[in-house]
Formats: sequence, C-alpha cells, structure tokens
Amino acid sequence: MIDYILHLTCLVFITSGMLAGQQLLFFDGGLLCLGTAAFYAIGAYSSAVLSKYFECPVLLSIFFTTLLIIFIIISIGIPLLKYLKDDFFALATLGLSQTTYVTLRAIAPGRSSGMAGIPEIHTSLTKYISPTIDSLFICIIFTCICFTIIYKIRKLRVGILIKACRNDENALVALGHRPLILKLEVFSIAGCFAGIAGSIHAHYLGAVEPHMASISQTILFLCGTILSGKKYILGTFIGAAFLIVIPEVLQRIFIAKWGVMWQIFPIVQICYGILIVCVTIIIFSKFNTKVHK
Amino acid sequence: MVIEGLINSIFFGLISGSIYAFVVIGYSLIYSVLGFINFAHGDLLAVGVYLCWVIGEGYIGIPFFIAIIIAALLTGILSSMIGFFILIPTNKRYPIATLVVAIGVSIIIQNLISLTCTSEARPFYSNIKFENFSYIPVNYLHISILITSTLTLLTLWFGLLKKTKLGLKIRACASNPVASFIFGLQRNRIFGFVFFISGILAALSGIAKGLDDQIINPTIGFSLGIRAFIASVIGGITNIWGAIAGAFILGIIEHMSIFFMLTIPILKPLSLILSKDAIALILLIIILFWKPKGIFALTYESRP
Repeated sequence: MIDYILHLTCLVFITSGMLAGQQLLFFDGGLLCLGTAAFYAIGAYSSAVLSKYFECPVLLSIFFTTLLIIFIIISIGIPLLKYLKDDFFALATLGLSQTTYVTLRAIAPGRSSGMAGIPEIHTSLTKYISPTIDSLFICIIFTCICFTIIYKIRKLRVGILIKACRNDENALVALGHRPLILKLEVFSIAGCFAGIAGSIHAHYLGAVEPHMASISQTILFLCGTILSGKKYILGTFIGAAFLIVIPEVLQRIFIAKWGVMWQIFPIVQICYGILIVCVTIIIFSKFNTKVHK
Repeated sequence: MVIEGLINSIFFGLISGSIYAFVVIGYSLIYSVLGFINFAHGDLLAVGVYLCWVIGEGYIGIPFFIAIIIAALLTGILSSMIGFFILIPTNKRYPIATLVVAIGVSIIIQNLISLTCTSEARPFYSNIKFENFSYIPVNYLHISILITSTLTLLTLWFGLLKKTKLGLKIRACASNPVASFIFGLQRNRIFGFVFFISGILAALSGIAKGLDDQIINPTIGFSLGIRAFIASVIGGITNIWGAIAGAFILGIIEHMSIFFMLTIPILKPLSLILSKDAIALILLIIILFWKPKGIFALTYESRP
C-alpha cells in the first residue's frame, strides 16, 4: 500500500512540474497550447530510444531530449506564434498533437503497443534506500527545479513583460519590446518542462505508449492546468492530484461498490468537464474585461 | 482505371463535403456573429444523431422523418441553451476562456452520451437499404445527401439570410457588431437564433453521417466536428461561402489523397500512417501557415 501511495506521489510530482510550465504559458502568457501532450510524448519516446537503443546514460538522454524539444519549438513556434493567435494557435497545436500521435503509432518502436524495457532512472542513493523512494527523490528534485524557474521568471522583469504581452501586444511593441520573443520564451519553457516530465515518466515507469500524445491526454493536461489556478505555483499540486488521484479513487469506489468498470471513464471525464467549465468561469470572472477585450 | 478512381474519389469527396458543409455553416455563423470558435459544436452533431435514434428506432418508435425533425429541433434548443447560459457570458470576459469552456462542454456531452447509451458503436437505421446507381459508385442516399445539403444551404443563404429581416440583422451583427449594437439591435435574440440554426444543421449533419455509415458512436461528433472546423478554416471562417467551399475542398482532398496513397507504390507506406483525421490536420497546419484567415477569407470591411 505504501509503495502504491509513493508511486502515485511520484506521478503527482512529475505532473505538477509539467503543469507549472503550462500555468505560466496559459495564465501569464495568455497562450492556450493543446500540444502539451505532443511534447510530453516526444520527450518520453526520444529519451527512451536514446537510452535503450543507443545505450546513452539516462541523464544525458534527458539532456539531448531537452535540446530536441527546444529545436522543435523554435522551428514550429516562430511561424505559429508569428501568424496565429488565440483559438487558431490552440487548434494548430492540437494539430501538432494529433500528428505526433499518428506518427508515433506508425513509425516509433513498438508501433501502437508502445515500448517497454526502458532503463530506469536512479541516483547513487539507490544502494541505501528503496527504488521507489529513490525515484520519488528524483521527481521532487525535478519539480523543485521547475517551481524555482517559474517563481524566478515571475519575479523578474521578463515575467511582468510576459503578462503585459498577454494584456496588450500593441502597447508592448510601442514600448520597443518584441512580443514574439517573449511568447517564444514562454512556449519553450512550457514545452521543455513537458518534454523533461515525459522523459522522467518514461524512465520511471520503464514503458511508453503513443497514447501519451492523444487528444484525451491533451484534454487531461488542459484540465490540470485550469485546476492549478492562475495565482499560486503550488496550485499545480491540486491540478496534478486531480489528474492522478481522482481516477484511482473513483476506480476503487466503483469496484468496491458495484464491481463494474466501464462507467468509470465517462464519469471521471464528466467530472473533469464540469470542473473545467466551473473553474474557468470562476477564474476568468475576475479578469478585467476592458483590458482583455 | 486511374481516371475512374479519380472520378470516384471526387464523387465521394463531394458527398463528404456536403456533410461537412452543414457543420461548417454552424462554425462560420457563430464565429462571424460572436467572434469565437464553438468547440462543442461537433458534439451537438452526436446529440442530434443519438436523439434521432432514441426517438425513432431505439425506444419510442416514431417514424423516421418525424424523428429527424424532432431531433433537429431539440438539438437546436440545446445549442441555444449552451450558447446563452455558458458560452456567451464567458466570451464577454476573456476570449480564450470561451474555447476552454467549450472544450469542457464538449467533454461533458460526449461522456454523457457514452454513459447513457454506452460507448460502443451501434447500428443506425441499418434496415434501410439504398440501391446503387449502375454507372457511378454512389447510392440514392449519397445523392439525396448532396441534394438536401445544397438545397438547405441555398435556402439558408438566399431565403433566410438575404430576404428576411432577421437575416439582415444577423448579417449586420457579423459585419459590424459594435455599430449594430449602437443602432439598437437586440443582440441576444440574434445570438440565440444563430445558435439554434447551427444546432439544427449539426443534427442534420449527424443524421446524414449516421445514415451514410449506418453505425453511430459517441465520438462521431468529435472527429467530424474537428474536420469540419478545419474545412471552415481552410475556406475562411468569416465567409460562409468560403467555408462551404473549404468543406468541399477538404472532402475531395481527403478522398483523393487516400486514392493516391493506395495506387502509387512509393506512397503506399503513407497509407498506414495517415488517417483522414491526420490528412485534415496536416492540411490545417499548411493552410494556417500559408493563409491563417483562410483561402476565401473576407476582410473586416468586405463582410456581407
């Protein structure tokens, strides 16, 4: 039981690290990215392939994965952010997500069934403590790094500029700043966090599957981002807990009470849908209409 | 053989395009008048087809054509309610929030259908058989979908939007929302009507798709909705005729690319990778880079 709780905690930490980037992108940058699942899956697959087939050390493969994600973001992010805004940007990133999903299913190792036997990630402490606690330690370090970066960005001048860019791009241009660079920075940070989270997830579980880039996964991440709230970085724990813990709890309740499985997924999804609608309306009801219009 | 295959794919592309066209008008009308993308529009299509099945074949047993009318009207009312109580109030505050809320509504609708009618695919009026024409590979259903779609679009444009006072108001709202508000147009009534019409068209499209496949599932709307949205972006979401043209272009490109992938040996491996959805999404990305507002997009000043 303790191992199971520790396993869920690891997943919560990985997800909250990723959601910290999404929080910055969505609430501070005002960019709705539906391609998070794509970066997550690309991170997981590339790191898995590097460490399994090229026998690259795990940390080095995570580093190369980050470089790959940055390359992808710069190559597609510049035209996307230059020409598209709001809903159109969101839908283009949804296209990216779906394209990644289809590509992974068709040409990635293991095709639609995914890959297993990926080397696990461990520290030198693994000789003294159990592997699960060791993994938890790595997940905590990852989350702390993510939180520190986001916290620092928000405190620095660039954080204020990012918010200003969300509020009025034209005013920012008039003041001599370049909104494209700012947006690209936020997009890169969020994408890198998603990619690294995907890599750690792959090495922690030892398996990856194309479903990581699917639309349902994208919607789950969106749900987590909304539930994280706009103000506090620790809110990402709430978002991550909803994504990881609630389905598990509901599953246990259903099995214990009715012994049935098939209704769990739609009920969980309906709960997510209601939460998305309610929380979005509550959060954005406080936004100043005149400024954002 | 190749020419015959090409002609067939154009025929099937036109039929797919006519199904998309119903949905595309909904997207285009809502975007023109209200300025946001209704992501839940595709799921109203599933609501329409499931309502038709429940009222008709499934439980109550009402005749097919009456079931279509009732299902379309109920979907229109549901669409108005979603628009009125959820989407319009959110849109007044923050545009991106509307898209997120619409995604939430879409998830709720899709899973409510799964929960009430099970997530498995079920036959939809599979007892109705349509005879094939001898010289072209389409049946009477395909032709009737094409004709109904064309007639509906022409009636909607030349009858409702061009000739009636309400149509004039809708066009005024689409052309210049601020000026129409200053001139005292009751915008809420217009918004409600726009949502009602788009709901009806979504239901009709769902039923047409259900009859074509003779099988329905709760995600029927999501996939078709996304493809229809892509079609409207290709054509230009602010221009209804452009969006309709986009629907036909997407339908034809989908079928033709599948035909080329199956016939040309070098492209054959691609047929394993690319589904219809993937083709549409790749096309969307290309169009968004080339012409973000769509091929036939109108400028703010030249809207109808």
